[in-house]
Amino acid sequence: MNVLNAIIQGLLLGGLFALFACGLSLMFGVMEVINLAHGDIAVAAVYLALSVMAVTHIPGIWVFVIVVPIFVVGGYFGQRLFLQRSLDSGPITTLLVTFGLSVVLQNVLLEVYSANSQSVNIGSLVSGSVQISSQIELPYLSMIFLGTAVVALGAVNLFLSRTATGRMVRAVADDREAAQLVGADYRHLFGIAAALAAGTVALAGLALGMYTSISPSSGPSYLLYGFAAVVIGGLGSLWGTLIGGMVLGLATTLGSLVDPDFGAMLPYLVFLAVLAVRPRGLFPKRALV
Amino acid sequence: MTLLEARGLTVCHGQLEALRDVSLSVSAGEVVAIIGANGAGKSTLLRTIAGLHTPVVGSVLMDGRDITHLGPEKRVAAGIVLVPEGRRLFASLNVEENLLAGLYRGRPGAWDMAKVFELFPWMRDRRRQPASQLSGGEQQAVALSRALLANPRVLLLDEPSLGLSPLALRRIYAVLPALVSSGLGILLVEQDVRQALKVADRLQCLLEGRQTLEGVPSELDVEEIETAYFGIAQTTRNAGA
Repeated sequence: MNVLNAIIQGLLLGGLFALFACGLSLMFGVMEVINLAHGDIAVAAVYLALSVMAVTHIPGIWVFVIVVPIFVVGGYFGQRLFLQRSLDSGPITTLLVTFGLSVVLQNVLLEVYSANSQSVNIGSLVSGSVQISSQIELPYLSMIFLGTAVVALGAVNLFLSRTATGRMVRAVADDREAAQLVGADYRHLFGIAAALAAGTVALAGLALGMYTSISPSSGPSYLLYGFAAVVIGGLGSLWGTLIGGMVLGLATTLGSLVDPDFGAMLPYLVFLAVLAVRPRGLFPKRALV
Repeated sequence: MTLLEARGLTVCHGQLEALRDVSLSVSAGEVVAIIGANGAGKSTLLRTIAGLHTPVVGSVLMDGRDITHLGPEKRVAAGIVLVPEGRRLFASLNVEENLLAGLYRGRPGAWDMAKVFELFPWMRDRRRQPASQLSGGEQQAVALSRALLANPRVLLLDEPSLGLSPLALRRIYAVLPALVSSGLGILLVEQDVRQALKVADRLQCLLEGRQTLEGVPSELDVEEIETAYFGIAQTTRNAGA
Protein backbone atom coordinates (compact mmCIF):
# COMPACT_ATOMS: atom_id res chain seq x y z
CA MET A 1 0.00 0.00 0.00
CA ASN A 2 1.65 3.23 -1.08
CA VAL A 3 1.02 6.73 0.13
CA LEU A 4 -1.38 7.69 -2.65
CA ASN A 5 -3.45 4.61 -2.00
CA ALA A 6 -3.47 5.39 1.71
CA ILE A 7 -4.70 8.90 1.01
CA ILE A 8 -7.53 7.63 -1.18
CA GLN A 9 -8.53 5.02 1.38
CA GLY A 10 -8.30 7.65 4.10
CA LEU A 11 -10.68 9.97 2.32
CA LEU A 12 -13.12 7.13 1.69
CA LEU A 13 -13.01 6.18 5.35
CA GLY A 14 -13.20 9.84 6.36
CA GLY A 15 -16.59 10.13 4.71
CA LEU A 16 -17.88 7.45 7.05
CA PHE A 17 -16.43 9.20 10.11
CA ALA A 18 -18.01 12.44 8.98
CA LEU A 19 -21.41 10.80 8.48
CA PHE A 20 -21.12 9.27 11.93
CA ALA A 21 -20.12 12.56 13.57
CA CYS A 22 -22.55 14.87 11.79
CA GLY A 23 -25.37 13.98 14.21
CA LEU A 24 -23.19 14.81 17.20
CA SER A 25 -22.40 18.13 15.61
CA LEU A 26 -26.08 18.85 14.86
CA MET A 27 -27.24 18.02 18.37
CA PHE A 28 -24.58 20.24 19.87
CA GLY A 29 -24.97 23.02 17.31
CA VAL A 30 -28.73 23.27 17.58
CA MET A 31 -29.54 22.50 21.20
CA GLU A 32 -26.15 22.21 22.91
CA VAL A 33 -26.75 18.57 23.77
CA ILE A 34 -23.67 16.37 24.03
CA ASN A 35 -25.15 13.01 23.19
CA LEU A 36 -23.11 10.35 24.99
CA ALA A 37 -25.38 7.64 23.56
CA HIS A 38 -24.52 8.58 19.97
CA GLY A 39 -22.27 5.55 19.40
CA ASP A 40 -24.76 3.20 21.04
CA ILE A 41 -27.52 4.46 18.76
CA ALA A 42 -25.34 3.51 15.79
CA VAL A 43 -24.81 0.05 17.29
CA ALA A 44 -28.53 -0.30 17.99
CA ALA A 45 -29.16 0.40 14.30
CA VAL A 46 -26.90 -2.53 13.38
CA TYR A 47 -28.78 -4.93 15.67
CA LEU A 48 -32.15 -3.69 14.47
CA ALA A 49 -30.90 -4.28 10.91
CA LEU A 50 -29.94 -7.85 11.81
CA SER A 51 -33.44 -8.49 13.16
CA VAL A 52 -35.08 -6.89 10.14
CA MET A 53 -32.94 -9.03 7.83
CA ALA A 54 -33.79 -12.18 9.77
CA VAL A 55 -37.51 -11.50 9.47
CA THR A 56 -37.81 -10.02 5.97
CA HIS A 57 -34.75 -11.58 4.22
CA ILE A 58 -34.06 -8.18 2.71
CA PRO A 59 -30.45 -7.95 1.38
CA GLY A 60 -28.02 -6.29 3.82
CA ILE A 61 -27.17 -3.46 1.48
CA TRP A 62 -30.83 -2.36 1.31
CA VAL A 63 -31.76 -2.77 4.95
CA PHE A 64 -31.23 0.97 5.56
CA VAL A 65 -34.48 1.63 3.71
CA ILE A 66 -36.34 0.22 6.72
CA VAL A 67 -33.94 1.01 9.57
CA VAL A 68 -33.15 4.67 8.86
CA PRO A 69 -36.79 5.86 8.81
CA ILE A 70 -37.39 4.08 12.11
CA PHE A 71 -34.48 5.98 13.65
CA VAL A 72 -35.60 9.27 12.14
CA VAL A 73 -39.03 8.91 13.75
CA GLY A 74 -37.44 7.59 16.95
CA GLY A 75 -35.07 10.56 17.04
CA TYR A 76 -37.91 13.05 16.79
CA PHE A 77 -40.01 11.50 19.53
CA GLY A 78 -37.00 10.65 21.68
CA GLN A 79 -36.19 14.34 21.69
CA ARG A 80 -39.75 15.49 22.31
CA LEU A 81 -40.58 12.97 25.03
CA PHE A 82 -37.30 12.45 26.90
CA LEU A 83 -34.51 14.82 25.98
CA GLN A 84 -36.68 17.95 26.03
CA ARG A 85 -37.68 17.28 29.63
CA SER A 86 -34.04 17.04 30.65
CA LEU A 87 -33.14 20.12 28.58
CA ASP A 88 -35.72 22.07 30.56
CA SER A 89 -33.86 21.23 33.74
CA GLY A 90 -30.33 22.13 32.68
CA PRO A 91 -27.29 20.94 30.72
CA ILE A 92 -25.96 18.57 33.39
CA THR A 93 -29.25 16.68 33.43
CA THR A 94 -29.05 16.25 29.68
CA LEU A 95 -25.55 14.85 29.92
CA LEU A 96 -26.70 12.39 32.59
CA VAL A 97 -29.76 11.38 30.57
CA THR A 98 -27.74 10.61 27.45
CA PHE A 99 -25.19 8.74 29.56
CA GLY A 100 -28.04 6.74 31.08
CA LEU A 101 -29.44 6.06 27.63
CA SER A 102 -26.02 4.76 26.60
CA VAL A 103 -25.93 2.31 29.53
CA VAL A 104 -29.52 1.20 28.95
CA LEU A 105 -28.99 0.66 25.21
CA GLN A 106 -25.83 -1.39 25.78
CA ASN A 107 -27.51 -3.61 28.32
CA VAL A 108 -30.72 -4.10 26.35
CA LEU A 109 -28.66 -5.11 23.31
CA LEU A 110 -26.58 -7.44 25.48
CA GLU A 111 -29.73 -9.01 26.90
CA VAL A 112 -31.48 -9.44 23.55
CA TYR A 113 -28.60 -10.23 21.20
CA SER A 114 -25.85 -11.62 23.53
CA ALA A 115 -22.29 -10.32 23.65
CA ASN A 116 -21.23 -11.98 20.38
CA SER A 117 -19.77 -9.75 17.69
CA GLN A 118 -21.91 -9.58 14.59
CA SER A 119 -21.87 -7.79 11.28
CA VAL A 120 -24.34 -6.96 8.55
CA ASN A 121 -23.87 -9.55 5.80
CA ILE A 122 -23.69 -7.97 2.37
CA GLY A 123 -22.33 -11.01 0.53
CA SER A 124 -19.55 -10.61 -2.01
CA LEU A 125 -19.71 -6.79 -1.93
CA VAL A 126 -17.61 -6.81 1.21
CA SER A 127 -14.47 -7.93 -0.56
CA GLY A 128 -14.95 -6.70 -4.14
CA SER A 129 -12.92 -3.85 -5.51
CA VAL A 130 -11.96 -1.99 -8.65
CA GLN A 131 -8.29 -2.15 -9.67
CA ILE A 132 -7.28 1.33 -10.88
CA SER A 133 -3.58 0.61 -11.26
CA SER A 134 -1.11 -1.88 -9.87
CA GLN A 135 -0.83 0.32 -6.78
CA ILE A 136 -4.38 1.57 -6.27
CA GLU A 137 -7.54 -0.39 -5.75
CA LEU A 138 -10.86 0.99 -4.68
CA PRO A 139 -13.01 -1.38 -2.60
CA TYR A 140 -16.69 -1.23 -3.55
CA LEU A 141 -17.62 -0.90 0.07
CA SER A 142 -15.46 2.17 0.70
CA MET A 143 -16.84 3.83 -2.40
CA ILE A 144 -20.37 3.08 -1.26
CA PHE A 145 -19.56 4.61 2.12
CA LEU A 146 -18.15 7.78 0.67
CA GLY A 147 -21.04 8.01 -1.81
CA THR A 148 -23.58 7.52 1.00
CA ALA A 149 -21.82 10.04 3.22
CA VAL A 150 -21.71 12.66 0.48
CA VAL A 151 -25.36 12.13 -0.47
CA ALA A 152 -26.58 12.09 3.15
CA LEU A 153 -24.52 15.08 4.26
CA GLY A 154 -25.48 16.90 1.06
CA ALA A 155 -29.15 16.21 1.75
CA VAL A 156 -28.87 17.44 5.34
CA ASN A 157 -27.07 20.53 4.11
CA LEU A 158 -29.69 21.20 1.43
CA PHE A 159 -32.46 20.76 3.96
CA LEU A 160 -30.82 23.21 6.38
CA SER A 161 -29.93 25.81 3.77
CA ARG A 162 -32.87 25.68 1.36
CA THR A 163 -36.07 24.80 3.20
CA ALA A 164 -38.10 27.04 5.50
CA THR A 165 -37.93 24.47 8.29
CA GLY A 166 -34.19 23.98 7.84
CA ARG A 167 -33.69 27.73 7.94
CA MET A 168 -35.54 27.87 11.25
CA VAL A 169 -33.40 25.01 12.63
CA ARG A 170 -30.39 27.23 11.95
CA ALA A 171 -32.19 30.25 13.35
CA VAL A 172 -33.03 28.44 16.58
CA ALA A 173 -29.37 27.40 16.85
CA ASP A 174 -28.39 31.07 16.59
CA ASP A 175 -30.94 32.51 18.98
CA ARG A 176 -33.70 30.41 20.44
CA GLU A 177 -35.68 33.30 21.90
CA ALA A 178 -35.59 35.35 18.71
CA ALA A 179 -36.80 32.27 16.83
CA GLN A 180 -39.74 32.00 19.20
CA LEU A 181 -40.54 35.63 18.50
CA VAL A 182 -41.11 34.85 14.82
CA GLY A 183 -43.43 32.01 15.79
CA ALA A 184 -41.07 29.04 15.82
CA ASP A 185 -41.81 26.21 18.22
CA TYR A 186 -38.25 25.41 19.25
CA ARG A 187 -39.20 22.01 20.67
CA HIS A 188 -40.42 20.92 17.25
CA LEU A 189 -37.24 22.22 15.59
CA PHE A 190 -35.09 20.46 18.21
CA GLY A 191 -37.04 17.31 17.39
CA ILE A 192 -36.24 17.72 13.71
CA ALA A 193 -32.54 18.20 14.45
CA ALA A 194 -32.63 15.06 16.62
CA ALA A 195 -34.39 13.17 13.82
CA LEU A 196 -31.64 14.17 11.37
CA ALA A 197 -29.00 13.18 13.91
CA ALA A 198 -30.56 9.79 14.58
CA GLY A 199 -31.09 9.10 10.87
CA THR A 200 -27.52 9.91 9.88
CA VAL A 201 -25.96 8.01 12.77
CA ALA A 202 -28.13 4.97 12.01
CA LEU A 203 -26.88 5.10 8.42
CA ALA A 204 -23.29 5.40 9.64
CA GLY A 205 -23.89 2.52 12.06
CA LEU A 206 -25.13 0.27 9.26
CA ALA A 207 -22.04 1.14 7.23
CA LEU A 208 -19.84 0.28 10.21
CA GLY A 209 -21.72 -2.99 10.64
CA MET A 210 -20.89 -3.91 7.02
CA TYR A 211 -17.28 -2.86 7.35
CA THR A 212 -16.44 -4.50 10.65
CA SER A 213 -18.05 -6.58 13.38
CA ILE A 214 -19.95 -4.92 16.17
CA SER A 215 -20.82 -5.92 19.72
CA PRO A 216 -23.24 -4.28 22.17
CA SER A 217 -20.34 -2.53 23.89
CA SER A 218 -18.81 -1.03 20.70
CA GLY A 219 -20.69 2.26 20.94
CA PRO A 220 -18.41 4.33 23.20
CA SER A 221 -15.30 3.67 21.10
CA TYR A 222 -17.09 5.01 18.02
CA LEU A 223 -18.33 7.93 20.07
CA LEU A 224 -14.69 8.86 20.72
CA TYR A 225 -14.00 9.00 16.99
CA GLY A 226 -17.10 11.10 16.54
CA PHE A 227 -16.02 13.54 19.23
CA ALA A 228 -12.58 13.79 17.68
CA ALA A 229 -14.08 14.60 14.26
CA VAL A 230 -16.43 17.19 15.74
CA VAL A 231 -13.76 18.89 17.84
CA ILE A 232 -11.16 18.92 15.05
CA GLY A 233 -13.67 20.56 12.74
CA GLY A 234 -15.06 23.03 15.26
CA LEU A 235 -18.07 22.43 17.51
CA GLY A 236 -21.44 22.73 15.87
CA SER A 237 -20.29 23.28 12.29
CA LEU A 238 -21.33 20.61 9.76
CA TRP A 239 -18.67 21.48 7.20
CA GLY A 240 -16.05 21.48 9.93
CA THR A 241 -17.23 18.01 10.93
CA LEU A 242 -16.84 16.78 7.36
CA ILE A 243 -13.25 18.06 7.30
CA GLY A 244 -12.67 16.60 10.77
CA GLY A 245 -13.86 13.20 9.54
CA MET A 246 -11.53 13.39 6.54
CA VAL A 247 -8.58 14.32 8.77
CA LEU A 248 -9.32 11.34 11.01
CA GLY A 249 -9.66 8.99 8.04
CA LEU A 250 -6.36 10.16 6.58
CA ALA A 251 -4.63 9.86 9.96
CA THR A 252 -5.89 6.30 10.30
CA THR A 253 -4.73 5.05 6.91
CA LEU A 254 -1.48 7.02 6.80
CA GLY A 255 -0.63 5.86 10.33
CA SER A 256 -1.29 2.28 9.27
CA LEU A 257 1.41 2.66 6.61
CA VAL A 258 3.92 2.86 9.44
CA ASP A 259 2.35 0.29 11.68
CA PRO A 260 -1.24 -0.96 12.14
CA ASP A 261 -1.22 0.04 15.81
CA PHE A 262 0.05 3.47 14.93
CA GLY A 263 -2.94 3.75 12.57
CA ALA A 264 -5.23 3.44 15.57
CA MET A 265 -3.23 5.99 17.57
CA LEU A 266 -2.44 8.69 15.02
CA PRO A 267 -6.03 10.06 14.84
CA TYR A 268 -5.86 10.84 18.57
CA LEU A 269 -2.44 12.43 18.24
CA VAL A 270 -3.84 14.66 15.48
CA PHE A 271 -6.83 15.38 17.72
CA LEU A 272 -4.52 16.44 20.57
CA ALA A 273 -2.40 18.50 18.22
CA VAL A 274 -5.44 20.38 16.92
CA LEU A 275 -6.67 20.96 20.47
CA ALA A 276 -3.27 22.33 21.43
CA VAL A 277 -2.89 24.63 18.44
CA ARG A 278 -6.51 25.56 17.71
CA PRO A 279 -8.58 24.80 20.80
CA ARG A 280 -11.80 25.84 19.07
CA GLY A 281 -11.20 23.57 16.08
CA LEU A 282 -10.12 24.22 12.52
CA PHE A 283 -13.37 26.06 11.62
CA PRO A 284 -14.56 27.78 14.76
CA LYS A 285 -17.25 29.77 12.95
CA ARG A 286 -20.36 29.28 14.98
CA ALA A 287 -22.75 28.33 12.17
CA LEU A 288 -24.34 25.03 11.26
CA VAL A 289 -23.81 25.18 7.50
CA MET B 1 -60.94 49.42 19.15
CA THR B 2 -58.73 47.96 21.87
CA LEU B 3 -56.48 45.23 20.52
CA LEU B 4 -54.11 44.48 23.33
CA GLU B 5 -54.71 44.81 27.02
CA ALA B 6 -52.56 44.07 30.04
CA ARG B 7 -54.27 43.98 33.43
CA GLY B 8 -52.43 44.33 36.71
CA LEU B 9 -49.25 42.55 35.64
CA THR B 10 -46.84 41.54 38.38
CA VAL B 11 -43.73 39.78 37.12
CA CYS B 12 -40.88 38.33 39.16
CA HIS B 13 -37.38 37.27 38.12
CA GLY B 14 -36.67 34.81 40.90
CA GLN B 15 -36.90 36.80 44.14
CA LEU B 16 -36.80 40.12 42.36
CA GLU B 17 -40.06 41.84 41.56
CA ALA B 18 -39.57 43.39 38.14
CA LEU B 19 -43.11 44.70 37.60
CA ARG B 20 -45.89 45.44 40.03
CA ASP B 21 -49.50 45.94 39.06
CA VAL B 22 -48.90 47.43 35.61
CA SER B 23 -51.83 47.84 33.23
CA LEU B 24 -52.01 49.19 29.72
CA SER B 25 -53.96 48.98 26.51
CA VAL B 26 -53.12 49.48 22.85
CA SER B 27 -55.72 50.21 20.18
CA ALA B 28 -55.46 49.88 16.44
CA GLY B 29 -53.61 52.82 14.89
CA GLU B 30 -52.27 54.03 18.20
CA VAL B 31 -48.72 54.47 19.50
CA VAL B 32 -48.30 53.91 23.21
CA ALA B 33 -44.87 54.69 24.59
CA ILE B 34 -43.41 53.29 27.79
CA ILE B 35 -40.61 55.39 29.22
CA GLY B 36 -38.48 54.88 32.27
CA ALA B 37 -34.90 54.65 33.46
CA ASN B 38 -32.68 51.58 33.17
CA GLY B 39 -34.08 48.70 35.16
CA ALA B 40 -37.55 50.23 35.44
CA GLY B 41 -39.08 47.06 33.97
CA LYS B 42 -39.81 48.32 30.46
CA SER B 43 -38.26 45.36 28.66
CA THR B 44 -39.81 42.94 31.13
CA LEU B 45 -43.21 44.44 30.33
CA LEU B 46 -42.78 43.93 26.58
CA ARG B 47 -41.34 40.45 27.04
CA THR B 48 -44.27 39.50 29.24
CA ILE B 49 -46.71 40.69 26.60
CA ALA B 50 -44.75 38.75 23.96
CA GLY B 51 -44.97 35.64 26.15
CA LEU B 52 -41.33 35.28 27.17
CA HIS B 53 -42.22 35.81 30.85
CA THR B 54 -45.32 34.61 32.66
CA PRO B 55 -46.80 37.05 35.15
CA VAL B 56 -47.35 35.95 38.73
CA VAL B 57 -50.49 38.05 38.90
CA GLY B 58 -52.49 39.71 36.15
CA SER B 59 -53.43 38.84 32.62
CA VAL B 60 -52.68 39.68 28.99
CA LEU B 61 -55.61 39.90 26.59
CA MET B 62 -55.72 40.12 22.82
CA ASP B 63 -59.13 40.99 21.30
CA GLY B 64 -60.53 40.35 24.77
CA ARG B 65 -59.21 36.78 24.73
CA ASP B 66 -56.98 35.77 27.65
CA ILE B 67 -53.56 34.79 26.28
CA THR B 68 -51.62 34.97 29.56
CA HIS B 69 -50.52 31.36 29.31
CA LEU B 70 -50.07 31.17 25.55
CA GLY B 71 -46.45 30.46 24.46
CA PRO B 72 -44.55 33.23 22.64
CA GLU B 73 -44.59 31.33 19.34
CA LYS B 74 -48.40 31.16 19.42
CA ARG B 75 -48.78 34.87 20.09
CA VAL B 76 -47.23 35.62 16.70
CA ALA B 77 -50.25 33.99 15.09
CA ALA B 78 -52.50 36.11 17.32
CA GLY B 79 -50.79 39.19 15.87
CA ILE B 80 -48.37 40.19 18.63
CA VAL B 81 -44.81 40.55 17.38
CA LEU B 82 -41.86 41.86 19.38
CA VAL B 83 -38.78 43.52 17.90
CA PRO B 84 -36.45 42.62 20.76
CA GLU B 85 -33.89 44.85 22.40
CA GLY B 86 -30.54 44.59 20.67
CA ARG B 87 -32.26 43.50 17.41
CA ARG B 88 -31.39 39.84 17.85
CA LEU B 89 -30.93 38.98 14.18
CA PHE B 90 -29.93 35.42 13.35
CA ALA B 91 -26.19 35.88 13.00
CA SER B 92 -25.44 32.94 10.72
CA LEU B 93 -28.35 33.70 8.38
CA ASN B 94 -28.10 36.25 5.61
CA VAL B 95 -30.36 39.28 5.33
CA GLU B 96 -32.90 37.55 3.12
CA GLU B 97 -33.06 34.49 5.35
CA ASN B 98 -33.61 36.71 8.38
CA LEU B 99 -36.51 38.35 6.58
CA LEU B 100 -37.94 35.00 5.47
CA ALA B 101 -37.89 33.89 9.11
CA GLY B 102 -40.55 36.54 9.67
CA LEU B 103 -42.81 34.73 7.21
CA TYR B 104 -42.33 31.34 8.91
CA ARG B 105 -45.43 31.45 11.12
CA GLY B 106 -46.66 34.94 10.37
CA ARG B 107 -50.24 35.93 9.63
CA PRO B 108 -51.27 36.51 6.04
CA GLY B 109 -51.48 40.19 5.24
CA ALA B 110 -50.25 43.20 3.35
CA TRP B 111 -46.56 42.73 4.15
CA ASP B 112 -44.43 40.64 1.84
CA MET B 113 -40.83 40.69 0.64
CA ALA B 114 -41.60 43.08 -2.21
CA LYS B 115 -43.11 45.61 0.17
CA VAL B 116 -40.13 45.39 2.51
CA PHE B 117 -37.74 45.99 -0.38
CA GLU B 118 -39.88 48.97 -1.34
CA LEU B 119 -39.57 50.35 2.19
CA PHE B 120 -35.81 49.68 2.45
CA PRO B 121 -34.48 49.47 -1.12
CA TRP B 122 -30.88 48.76 -0.02
CA MET B 123 -31.97 45.39 1.37
CA ARG B 124 -32.65 43.96 -2.07
CA ASP B 125 -29.05 44.46 -3.20
CA ARG B 126 -27.58 43.26 0.05
CA ARG B 127 -29.90 40.37 0.75
CA ARG B 128 -27.10 37.78 0.43
CA GLN B 129 -24.94 39.51 3.03
CA PRO B 130 -24.64 37.91 6.48
CA ALA B 131 -26.82 39.82 8.93
CA SER B 132 -23.87 40.13 11.30
CA GLN B 133 -22.03 42.37 8.81
CA LEU B 134 -24.69 45.09 8.83
CA SER B 135 -24.42 48.33 10.77
CA GLY B 136 -26.62 48.86 13.82
CA GLY B 137 -29.14 50.94 11.91
CA GLU B 138 -29.32 48.43 9.10
CA GLN B 139 -29.77 45.61 11.59
CA GLN B 140 -32.60 47.50 13.24
CA ALA B 141 -34.25 47.94 9.84
CA VAL B 142 -33.95 44.19 9.18
CA ALA B 143 -35.31 43.38 12.65
CA LEU B 144 -38.25 45.72 12.06
CA SER B 145 -38.89 44.23 8.61
CA ARG B 146 -38.67 40.69 9.97
CA ALA B 147 -41.39 41.61 12.45
CA LEU B 148 -43.54 43.35 9.83
CA LEU B 149 -43.41 40.31 7.54
CA ALA B 150 -45.29 38.40 10.24
CA ASN B 151 -48.08 40.94 9.64
CA PRO B 152 -48.59 41.90 13.26
CA ARG B 153 -51.61 43.77 14.56
CA VAL B 154 -49.69 44.99 17.57
CA LEU B 155 -45.99 45.68 17.15
CA LEU B 156 -43.83 45.76 20.27
CA LEU B 157 -40.66 47.80 19.82
CA ASP B 158 -38.01 47.47 22.50
CA GLU B 159 -35.54 50.37 22.46
CA PRO B 160 -35.31 50.73 18.69
CA SER B 161 -32.96 53.70 19.13
CA LEU B 162 -30.38 51.80 21.18
CA GLY B 163 -26.91 52.21 19.70
CA LEU B 164 -28.13 53.96 16.55
CA SER B 165 -26.68 57.10 15.00
CA PRO B 166 -29.10 60.08 14.89
CA LEU B 167 -29.50 59.57 11.14
CA ALA B 168 -30.26 55.86 11.46
CA LEU B 169 -32.65 56.68 14.28
CA ARG B 170 -34.55 59.17 12.10
CA ARG B 171 -34.78 56.61 9.32
CA ILE B 172 -36.33 54.03 11.61
CA TYR B 173 -38.78 56.47 13.14
CA ALA B 174 -39.69 57.86 9.72
CA VAL B 175 -41.30 54.51 8.94
CA LEU B 176 -43.67 54.50 11.90
CA PRO B 177 -46.40 56.96 10.78
CA ALA B 178 -47.24 54.91 7.69
CA LEU B 179 -47.46 51.75 9.82
CA VAL B 180 -49.78 53.45 12.29
CA SER B 181 -52.06 54.82 9.60
CA SER B 182 -52.42 51.29 8.22
CA GLY B 183 -54.07 50.38 11.53
CA LEU B 184 -51.15 48.82 13.33
CA GLY B 185 -51.01 49.34 17.09
CA ILE B 186 -47.53 50.07 18.41
CA LEU B 187 -46.25 49.64 21.93
CA LEU B 188 -42.91 51.38 22.12
CA VAL B 189 -40.30 51.18 24.84
CA GLU B 190 -37.90 54.07 24.59
CA GLN B 191 -35.19 55.54 26.78
CA ASP B 192 -34.98 58.58 24.58
CA VAL B 193 -37.90 60.46 26.14
CA ARG B 194 -37.96 63.26 23.55
CA GLN B 195 -38.27 60.72 20.79
CA ALA B 196 -41.06 58.94 22.65
CA LEU B 197 -42.95 62.21 23.24
CA LYS B 198 -42.73 63.01 19.56
CA VAL B 199 -44.36 59.84 18.25
CA ALA B 200 -46.62 58.68 21.07
CA ASP B 201 -50.37 59.15 21.30
CA ARG B 202 -50.21 58.09 24.92
CA LEU B 203 -47.37 57.81 27.35
CA GLN B 204 -46.77 55.66 30.40
CA CYS B 205 -43.85 55.96 32.75
CA LEU B 206 -42.39 53.15 34.81
CA LEU B 207 -40.26 53.60 37.90
CA GLU B 208 -38.80 50.56 39.64
CA GLY B 209 -41.47 48.33 38.19
CA ARG B 210 -44.41 50.55 39.08
CA GLN B 211 -46.50 52.76 36.92
CA THR B 212 -45.89 56.37 37.94
CA LEU B 213 -47.52 58.37 35.17
CA GLU B 214 -49.97 57.99 32.35
CA GLY B 215 -51.20 60.58 29.90
CA VAL B 216 -51.23 62.25 26.53
CA PRO B 217 -47.83 63.83 25.71
CA SER B 218 -49.28 67.27 24.88
CA GLU B 219 -50.99 67.44 28.25
CA LEU B 220 -47.96 66.47 30.33
CA ASP B 221 -45.38 69.01 31.37
CA VAL B 222 -41.68 68.29 31.57
CA GLU B 223 -41.58 68.52 35.32
CA GLU B 224 -44.28 65.93 35.73
CA ILE B 225 -42.43 63.55 33.44
CA GLU B 226 -39.10 64.11 35.17
CA THR B 227 -40.61 63.33 38.53
CA ALA B 228 -42.24 60.19 37.25
CA TYR B 229 -39.06 59.15 35.45
CA PHE B 230 -36.49 59.73 38.18
CA GLY B 231 -38.71 59.52 41.21
CA ILE B 232 -37.25 62.72 42.64
CA ALA B 233 -39.60 64.34 45.13
CA GLN B 234 -41.01 67.66 43.98
CA THR B 235 -39.68 69.47 47.08
CA THR B 236 -36.07 68.45 46.41
CA ARG B 237 -36.35 69.80 42.90
CA ASN B 238 -37.77 73.10 44.05
CA ALA B 239 -35.09 73.45 46.69
CA GLY B 240 -32.45 72.91 44.05
CA ALA B 241 -34.02 75.48 41.73
